[in-house]
Amino acid sequence: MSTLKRNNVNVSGNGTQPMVFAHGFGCDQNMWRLITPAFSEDYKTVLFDYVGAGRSDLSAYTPAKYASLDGYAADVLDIMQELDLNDVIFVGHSVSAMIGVLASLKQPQRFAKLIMIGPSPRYINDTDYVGGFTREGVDELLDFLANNHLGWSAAMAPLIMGNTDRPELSQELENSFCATDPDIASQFARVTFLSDNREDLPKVTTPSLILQSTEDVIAPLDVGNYCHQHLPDSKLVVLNATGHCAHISAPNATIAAIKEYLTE
Amino acid sequence: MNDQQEITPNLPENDLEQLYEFAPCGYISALPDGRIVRVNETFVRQIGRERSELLSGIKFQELMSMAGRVFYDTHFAPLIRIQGHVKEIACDLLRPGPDKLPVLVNAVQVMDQSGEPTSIRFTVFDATERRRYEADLLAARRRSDHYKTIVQASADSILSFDPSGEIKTWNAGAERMFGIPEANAVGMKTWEAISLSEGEGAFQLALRELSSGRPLYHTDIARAASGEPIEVAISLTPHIEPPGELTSVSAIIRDVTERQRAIEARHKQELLQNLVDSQEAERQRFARDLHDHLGQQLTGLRLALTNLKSTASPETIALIDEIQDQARQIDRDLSFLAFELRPNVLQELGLVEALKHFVSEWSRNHQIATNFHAGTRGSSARLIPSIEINIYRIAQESLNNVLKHAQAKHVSVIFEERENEIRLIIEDDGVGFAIEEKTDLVKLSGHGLGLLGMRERAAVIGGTLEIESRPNAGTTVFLKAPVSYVQ
Repeated sequence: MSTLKRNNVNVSGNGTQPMVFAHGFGCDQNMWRLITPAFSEDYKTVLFDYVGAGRSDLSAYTPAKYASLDGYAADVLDIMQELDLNDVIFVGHSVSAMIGVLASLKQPQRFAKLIMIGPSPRYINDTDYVGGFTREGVDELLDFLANNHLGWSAAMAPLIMGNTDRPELSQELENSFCATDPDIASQFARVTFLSDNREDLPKVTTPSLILQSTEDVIAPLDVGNYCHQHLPDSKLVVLNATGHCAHISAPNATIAAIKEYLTE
Repeated sequence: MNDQQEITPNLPENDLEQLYEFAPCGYISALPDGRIVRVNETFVRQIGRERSELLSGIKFQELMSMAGRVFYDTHFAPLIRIQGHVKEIACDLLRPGPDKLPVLVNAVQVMDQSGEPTSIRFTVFDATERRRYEADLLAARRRSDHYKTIVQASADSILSFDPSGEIKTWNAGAERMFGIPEANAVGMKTWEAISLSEGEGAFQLALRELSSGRPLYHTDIARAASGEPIEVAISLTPHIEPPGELTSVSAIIRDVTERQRAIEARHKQELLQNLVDSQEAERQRFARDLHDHLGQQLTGLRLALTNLKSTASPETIALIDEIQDQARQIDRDLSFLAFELRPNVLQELGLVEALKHFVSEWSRNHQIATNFHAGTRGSSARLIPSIEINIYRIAQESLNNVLKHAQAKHVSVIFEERENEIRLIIEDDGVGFAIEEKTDLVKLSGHGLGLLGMRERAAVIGGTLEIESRPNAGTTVFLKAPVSYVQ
């Protein structure tokens, strides 16, 4: 199984400089549908699904490898190596912002810029740090996910998995692009919401743009400010957007902010 | 609709406002960011809040618990925006106070002609009952996952088969024990997968037994993955469905080869112990007899000889003196023999003193030079009696071998007591002998060296005994044994 098939990598666009779009916790590469068309003229756009999400190869999932964000970062670097990508603009949403940080620390030479939408180096509150979550809140979230998978994903995951050669089938399935194996989703949620990458931020050498929504319960403004203070050579832009997915709720503002940053 | 109006002109179903407000589910309309702009009466009642509060700028997701809001942001909102609708999302809505309302939510996105979203319509179904049985289902699934883990992780083979003997499940333990992967085993006949010494016939008999509902236990010999025969304990449990039909059988197969071996080894050690104990008792009795009967008779004989001298001629007296010398020598030999058989000094002074005493007595008695060295840990704790007596006897037996076979001029005896181990080394400078296989003590015992007895004594205390010897290069006896102290 090649990396490209494992991570369901899709390359398009007319440009040469690569933009790699990495989805966050929740859904899959479809999340970028409102964003990528704006960049396809000038860039080579690379979309992929993390192992366990979307149409990735679920059989490649091993709990040990994906027990930390490093496993996901390694996959990002695999994709870049396989496609021989350099001078990469890495656009990461949510937990992918930190996965991008980790990947850029491993192979900084591949990265030109990091663009982070709603990044958070740590979701749980700590002494003198407001992450927005309590440990109990995270446990409640894990329970919540378990309940919802019983409703839909458990029944659909096998259908999606078994019919990768017939994409029209999974199109018909409700909520399919946010559905995945419940065990994997639960582990990804754990890794996402229990990680602590605060110490990695000051080590980053790649310039970065932080896109922060005015109203985001998952990554509040305080967290955006924290990232800006601790990431060397970073720029913070607060978007007039609600929710954790500015690229969904305010795609035009998101596109404009990214373009402005890239032409600076 | 017109037809219906004619048939039932006064039904409230004709009033669309009524239909909306009192529909059997809650209706909410919101702006794309979630801000509520309209709700129906059913929802107002479900959520238990004032309509004016709901329409004061609250977002739909703000009525959710923290986990729900995260889910809304990571799943719900993207799904609505990209897919246009969402179905059957389970979440809790917050009623005033600590009360929560478990609901299922459907939603559709409404767009204008340019494709920009203008609003979201939600329907909310009370799912209190459904959530309860979902929680039961989830708990049942977790329990079953838990049991599955236990079964998979078991070192025992755990399998099940139907009444025809066809294997239905086969755990990792069975894969390891019999070397057949699960995919191949499922569908095989049980007696083919597990080749027992008793074949299909016995199996059919067992099935008949199981049909009565009683579990079966027995031990058998099976062939392991390695091809080696292994001893297995099999427990078969029948599953009976009304009206008494055998539907499946579960089997737990445990490899008891090692346990069986351990039992046999322990049994053998017990036998040895008994042998050595009875030998010891025999020696004690023999020593007592020597001392009580022979010793007294010898004393009487020597007294009689002394009396005889008062009336005897000088020639006879010289003869009597000679006989008395012999009697004294016999008396000494007898005492040493009795001492050898029943070393009182061992009970009184402990192993080191007894060894030291015996080595010096032996040296004096047989005119062979010895040196004795003891390295102890300096504690006063006594070794348990069986260690003391067996080491003492091994030393005795070794020195007797030196006397009988070695023609040695010098013997050294070293006793060392270490942290976890005691060692006894007896080295002579005698003629030695050729050992084809130097540890083959069974063969050596054929040379009349009493080595088998020494090895048995070593085994009784859990130790090992080795001999090194070459012609004209002396012999070394080397004993190692674990220590154990009197508590």
